[in-house]
Amino acid sequence: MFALALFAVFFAVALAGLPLMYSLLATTVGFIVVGGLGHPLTSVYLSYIGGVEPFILIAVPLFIFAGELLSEGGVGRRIVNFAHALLGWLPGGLGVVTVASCLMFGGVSGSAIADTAAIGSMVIPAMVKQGYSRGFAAALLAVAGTLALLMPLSIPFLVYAFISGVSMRQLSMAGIVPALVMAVALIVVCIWYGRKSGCDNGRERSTLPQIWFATKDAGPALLMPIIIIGGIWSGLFTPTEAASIAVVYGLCISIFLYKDIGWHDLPRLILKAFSTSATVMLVIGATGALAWLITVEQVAAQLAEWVRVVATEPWMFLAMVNVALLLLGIFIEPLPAMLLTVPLLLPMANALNIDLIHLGVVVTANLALALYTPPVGGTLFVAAKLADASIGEITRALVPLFAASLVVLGIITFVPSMTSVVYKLLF
Amino acid sequence: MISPGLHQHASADDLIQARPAQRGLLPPAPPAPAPLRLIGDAVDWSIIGIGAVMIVLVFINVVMHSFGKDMAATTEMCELLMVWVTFLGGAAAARRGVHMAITELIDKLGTGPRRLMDLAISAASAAVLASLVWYGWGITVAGWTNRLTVLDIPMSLQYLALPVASFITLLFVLWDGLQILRGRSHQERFGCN
Repeated sequence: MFALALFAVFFAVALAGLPLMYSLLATTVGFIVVGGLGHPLTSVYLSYIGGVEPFILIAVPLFIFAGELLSEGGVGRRIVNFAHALLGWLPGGLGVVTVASCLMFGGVSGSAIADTAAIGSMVIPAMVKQGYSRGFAAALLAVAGTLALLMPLSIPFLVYAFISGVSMRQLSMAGIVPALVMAVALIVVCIWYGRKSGCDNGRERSTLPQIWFATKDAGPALLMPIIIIGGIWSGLFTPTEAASIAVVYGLCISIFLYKDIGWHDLPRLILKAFSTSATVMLVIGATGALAWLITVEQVAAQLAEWVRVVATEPWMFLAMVNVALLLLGIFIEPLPAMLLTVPLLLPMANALNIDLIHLGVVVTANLALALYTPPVGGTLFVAAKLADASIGEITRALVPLFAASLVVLGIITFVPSMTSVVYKLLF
Repeated sequence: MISPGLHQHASADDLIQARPAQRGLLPPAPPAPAPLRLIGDAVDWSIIGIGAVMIVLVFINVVMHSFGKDMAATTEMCELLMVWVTFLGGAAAARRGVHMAITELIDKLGTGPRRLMDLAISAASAAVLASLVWYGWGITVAGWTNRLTVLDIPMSLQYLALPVASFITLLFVLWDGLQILRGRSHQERFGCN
């Protein structure tokens, strides 16, 4: 009853438009004061400060900064050229190039919005010129951009690893196969669309010199995920150190090699990255304050007990998680949704002996859908703006892509070996 | 940034385009009185400075790590700076109206009800921030004798970020509340944000 009242009040306040960090703090303090719970408010605010200081979280602004550098530093364009030279000959070739580019750029940026914006600004005009509908071009970018969330530098993975205490190394590796399967599913839809609409039957195959030029040009950018993934996998560096290397590498190739940005761009990019990160970190800190109240009031134990009654099998729990997160994702963006739900899901998952790394991939894959589920969503809005398409047009074109994503989500959820195959093999 | 040449027979060479146009040193901020603009710019440059120092410190640690050495002071310093850059980043975000919020419902309101809701949100935000300043200062004063393990400086230098940044954020929120009372819409106050 306490838990229900707590979440009802929080959601009412948050849906009224109060910024999430204030909603979380106001709810926590309000329950203590009005409910006469007698807890010292100093403890709430100390939990708030404590929530933003852990060293691992320094990786969040660094990854965001690296993503900004690569987005503006011309890396996306070179990746698109590379994918075009290799895959442009397939039916639905431009769509296939889009998916492959988003997958590769996602491997270096870790941000779905950056992925959609960087790749979309280049391929959407070309797709429209080729005869793709604006709705399909935007829908494809909105979906393919979210592949970044399942790749090793994923920012939601980092946040989940912090909240749940699982190894970021293992979680990074766990997302690779689901990302590849999701990409293949989207490529199949693109080939089907290209054939059905007749707008894109594939171009001539690239000549070897063309492929060599594109590979040489994109080489430094393509090397980055190899260095980062290899470093994390081998244990050579921690995720925070990997983020720092991503920044330095990104600076080198964007400023010295590609020269698409200069030193004068750095203040703006640093400010953007650190203030964007602050909006996330402050919600993490405020969630820490609410989590403190949940712990002292033993709400987690009550929820775990409730799950033992309602969901007796892991698959039932995971199915419930899917439905709940898909519904939540209609209204809330992935990171806040993750911050609000994961602390509650963890005790329940532990009660059912569910692998927390598998749960992390399931939660992230679910919340990736939230980014393009109409009527609101980050990648949906970016893609709509780039393609100059209405949400209605995109929604209609989204149907086959959404269906393919749901099928893959089902596989990720109910076939745990899909997530565990890589990290169990490597560690 | 639109690529003109990604058509059927474009060579990879054709797809490369001119670099993006040069932009200002800082992103734009909403109009405000000179003292508030000065505070806002000081916050922006502090974030840039702290962020740059953190990037360098973490990278130095990586280099040291590869030589089998570790700088414990770097970790503690980065945690201290992380708290400051996060709370100051919150102030910069409040100045530009970009804090995470669910606005889909209130966006559907008419001008009058929306203005009332904006005012209520501003008042509630100010109340939370005033409480953060009050309790944050209390925590800072109480923790002055405790010292950080490696850096051996008062732990309160870390806690101080909470009341200082919350006070600055409160100024931005109160200024925004005044703009709402003057009848300015969200679009007029924050532009495209």
